[in-house]
Amino acid sequence: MAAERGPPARRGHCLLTTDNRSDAELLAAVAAGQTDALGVLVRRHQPNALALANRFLGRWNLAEDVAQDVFVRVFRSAAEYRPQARFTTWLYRIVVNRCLDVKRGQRRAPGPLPDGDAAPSAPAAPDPVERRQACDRVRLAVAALPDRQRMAVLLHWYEDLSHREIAEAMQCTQGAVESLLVRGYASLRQALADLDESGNPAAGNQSGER
Amino acid sequence: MDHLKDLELIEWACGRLPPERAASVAVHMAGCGPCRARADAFVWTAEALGRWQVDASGRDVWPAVEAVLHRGGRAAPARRTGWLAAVLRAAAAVLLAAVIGHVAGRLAKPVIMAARAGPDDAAARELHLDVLASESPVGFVNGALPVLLPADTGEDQP
Repeated sequence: MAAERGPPARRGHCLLTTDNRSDAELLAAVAAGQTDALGVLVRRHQPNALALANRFLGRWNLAEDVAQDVFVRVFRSAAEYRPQARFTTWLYRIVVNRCLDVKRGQRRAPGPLPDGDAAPSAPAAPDPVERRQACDRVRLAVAALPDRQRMAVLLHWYEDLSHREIAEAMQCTQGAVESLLVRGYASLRQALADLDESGNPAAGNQSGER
Repeated sequence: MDHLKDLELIEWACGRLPPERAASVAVHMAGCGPCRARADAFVWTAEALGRWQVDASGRDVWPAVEAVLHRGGRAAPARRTGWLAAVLRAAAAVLLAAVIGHVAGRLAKPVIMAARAGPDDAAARELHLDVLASESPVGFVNGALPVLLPADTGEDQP
């Protein structure tokens, strides 16, 4: 059955800029004080930063605050960036740190539960309500993971980072990342096992054995 | 038969294994029911994750970032990390503390001297009651004397 189904298609990312300068070139310009170069970097990378922060924190307003703060920090730290490291790895590290900081702050002052404002893609199923319910199930299952497992899974599945890149972004070892991924995916497998083929909760709560 | 590790099945389910390795995993699963079942579960999980799409395309934080920069969020200048700068800063702090302490001491000295010179000192010395003096050898100061024997105070005894 596994051979028939096969692994799902990867989600790609879209760059929203026509500027052909590399990230390193743009960052060098930012370090020289050119804020327009930062604008190009922001528009090029904010979809990823926003999506990651939204998935991790569960709210768009928090995600936008994090993204804004991240790019201000990029501007202030531009002179410290070393071109040997990929810019995206460096950016993800800042995003991860800010997300974890916000999450720690939320634990000290608990706020409302994550809202369901993640817009689903164009529904393939005829009933958009059912599709929204499936999205909510996934969203809540991911939100239930411990912070570091959740971040590792998000970086792995949605941002398509390698184990080494995830380790650099989360400032831990590759072995730690692999452990986080195994535990995170195992928990998600258990939490989502009762979704049916259309992604809806199966009637009767069948076991996840497939 | 050695079974496949969870991590490899996760990578296979997410479509991230190199083609050669993915092919050998598929061959193994064709002959191993438990590994196939685990792989199916991970594929199921990956497909579920794929249904959670977030659309950030209508959101733009650049205006807010630009506003912060215009309010003064300038790029930090390259820090001087040399040891000489640190030594000079420490020396300046020590010198400043010494100057402040010296000035404060000179201003406070007349006040302290006035406080120490109690009105009873001359009388106490005349009566050889050194223990009552402000700066007696035993270290008692005004207001901190232990209670003397009743006989010393002249109080009547029961």
